[in-house]
Amino acid sequence: MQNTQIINFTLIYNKHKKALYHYVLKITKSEMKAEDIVHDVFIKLFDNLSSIVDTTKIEFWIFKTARNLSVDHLRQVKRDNLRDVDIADCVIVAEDLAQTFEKNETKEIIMNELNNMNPEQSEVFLLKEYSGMSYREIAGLMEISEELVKSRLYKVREKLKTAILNLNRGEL
Amino acid sequence: MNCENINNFIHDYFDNELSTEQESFLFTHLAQCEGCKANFKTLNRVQFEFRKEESEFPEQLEERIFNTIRNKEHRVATNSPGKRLPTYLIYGYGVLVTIISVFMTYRFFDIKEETLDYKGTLESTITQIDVQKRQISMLINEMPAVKVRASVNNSNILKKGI
Repeated sequence: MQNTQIINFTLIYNKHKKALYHYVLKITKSEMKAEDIVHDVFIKLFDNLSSIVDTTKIEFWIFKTARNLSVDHLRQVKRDNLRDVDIADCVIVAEDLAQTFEKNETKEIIMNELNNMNPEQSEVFLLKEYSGMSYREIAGLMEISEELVKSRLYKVREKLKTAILNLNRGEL
Repeated sequence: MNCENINNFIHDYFDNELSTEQESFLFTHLAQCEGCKANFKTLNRVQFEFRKEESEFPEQLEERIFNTIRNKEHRVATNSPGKRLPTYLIYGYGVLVTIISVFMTYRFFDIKEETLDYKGTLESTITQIDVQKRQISMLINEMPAVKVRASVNNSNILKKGI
């Protein structure tokens, strides 16, 4: 019974670990916090795996839990005015991302555009890209309407498209 | 269907929300319309660029997650949560055992004392009985001999078959 649980957990873990980590990293903008949250999500998953009856909902469960923990963290930072502490982490992330972007200017443009967007908009895009969930599932997770999910995704993609087109015009 | 509707189809395609029929319709249109094809290519580039060159999952995080799980497993294996008693009950049990031990120690000494008393009483009773036994023997020995004369009318003689 225990072995089956470990095997099931490992399969789910390997399927979602990378997407979940990058999703949380982009929300929290802190490597340290992202690692803490992803750790907690997977430990919670391991503890609750036997009680999750509908295995098709595991993806939803994982991203919902990660989102709740990320939102709690952001609220905590805001409430305790601990931005100074977090800045150090953000700088590390920014440096890492900058190193990556040196090789890839287009990706830098996309990431900058996403960072400058309203978080409500960019979050829908991040959820869609990393979880691959449907409009309906994202709507349920974020507690908004399906139409709003679709509309936000449309706006984000259009903004990213414009950014790339502007880059192309600059290159010409 | 105009190009504006096709643009919606393109977005749905990248959201993975397009049906097979709609997908066929979209690609038929793209083959015929340069504007929509360019739009599709740009959105495809957005997705491609966003998804590429993501850093790997941190190794130390993977190690941390599985260490936590291993420790949990170890705790479960060595100490079944179903049989584990609350701490206050374990302390209570310890205190109870101590109290019973102290009580039993006192009782042991009490019983030992009572046993010794009883032994003394018993010995003195035995001594008294021995004395009385000797006195009775002496009295019996000092009594004059009694002659029993055989007679049919002697009530001390059992009459057998008469």
